Amino acid sequence: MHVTIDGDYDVCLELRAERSTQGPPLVSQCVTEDLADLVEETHTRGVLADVLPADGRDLEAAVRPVWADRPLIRHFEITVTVQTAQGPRSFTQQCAGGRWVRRAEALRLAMIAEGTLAEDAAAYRVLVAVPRRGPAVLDGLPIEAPPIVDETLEEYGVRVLGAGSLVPSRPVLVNRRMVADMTERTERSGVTETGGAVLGKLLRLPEPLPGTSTRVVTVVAAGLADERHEGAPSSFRFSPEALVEAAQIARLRGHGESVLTAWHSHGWGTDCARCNQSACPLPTVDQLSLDDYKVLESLFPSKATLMPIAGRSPGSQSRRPAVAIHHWCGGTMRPLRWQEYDE
Amino acid sequence: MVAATLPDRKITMTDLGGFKRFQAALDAELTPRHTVAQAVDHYLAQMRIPKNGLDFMAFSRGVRLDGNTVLGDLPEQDTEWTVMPEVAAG
Repeated sequence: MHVTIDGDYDVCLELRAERSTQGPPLVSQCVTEDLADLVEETHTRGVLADVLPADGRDLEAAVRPVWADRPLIRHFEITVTVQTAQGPRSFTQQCAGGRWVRRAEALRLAMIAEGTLAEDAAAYRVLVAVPRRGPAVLDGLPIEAPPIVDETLEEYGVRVLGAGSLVPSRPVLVNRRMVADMTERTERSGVTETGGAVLGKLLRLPEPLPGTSTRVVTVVAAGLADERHEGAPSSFRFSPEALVEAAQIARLRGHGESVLTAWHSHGWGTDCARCNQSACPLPTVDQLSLDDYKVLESLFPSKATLMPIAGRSPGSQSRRPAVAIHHWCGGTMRPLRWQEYDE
Repeated sequence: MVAATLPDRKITMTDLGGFKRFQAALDAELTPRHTVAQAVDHYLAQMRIPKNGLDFMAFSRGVRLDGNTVLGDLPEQDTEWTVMPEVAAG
């Protein structure tokens, strides 16, 4: 893919002790390469929204910095254009986040650990555009559309839709039995995190579902628990052997599924049973950690990846764990509405 | 034992979900003298998958490949790899 950055800039991440940009930063790093994620995400979201063709060629991307106060960048506007027989088709999104956000947090934690930053000290994150001096690092980006199968919901075994609602451009259906299993396991495991592999696939329906604008639907079909995964408070280690076996099980099921992602819990208070109402040190289902992002970047690197998390959800009226499903949106994982189905 | 067809052999590496697929012949960037670990590093670089300080490994036919094995010594059937790290969510 040919990628151009409007103004031919490089992008630097600075951490600063004060809001002002006067004086030297605590740390400065070139993060232009981090924009690759955003280009890939824009392409994937365009394909999932049925705006860009999955088999498109001659892909081009334009990255436009949106200024806070030049040369300080507020966010990026990314446009991916694909040539088709009917002419060019484009998809644009605004990206306020990116890998540099996690980088900045990791740098801040490292400085605290080594004593160069006090634990309660502020560290402000700034993105600065500087004239590019080296080669263009984003050109030749390997971009591939996620595998999408032409199939109806009935053919895949989706019998009836249940509770929930769909996002028009990214409809996600989740097996009700899997949601029930995640809830039950989270409750039973308490503060020890639990989880497992998730099987499913991306379908291209003959027509969009009512209320949606794309024919591409993500079906999250089954969760696979395995004793080889190791849960602990604040951590859930995925066993590669168990995940490989899950992929084999996906093949044996014969539906053309793959290990789409993995789910994990963020803990649940077994004593109070008021996790959704009370202030509590356990993270909520909407708080992704740096480790969660490592799973997304290194184990499930596709930008079509969803991350289901079970646990507490302050404000929920339920006395049981909630399930949130996150998707890539503007360089960050954000919760997504979804709908249950019965097979 | 080095198979007679080595120059024609190709290795296909994917992530667990099968989204990031990369195929390499053993006559260019990778050769029969490279190790499994070097091939994995090559895949990660090509696909721009960050290592994030994690240990990556390759599986073929459900079995983990030894990172020190040179590609020329792999059985001919070990051409479809799944590459993944050992990683924990938080």
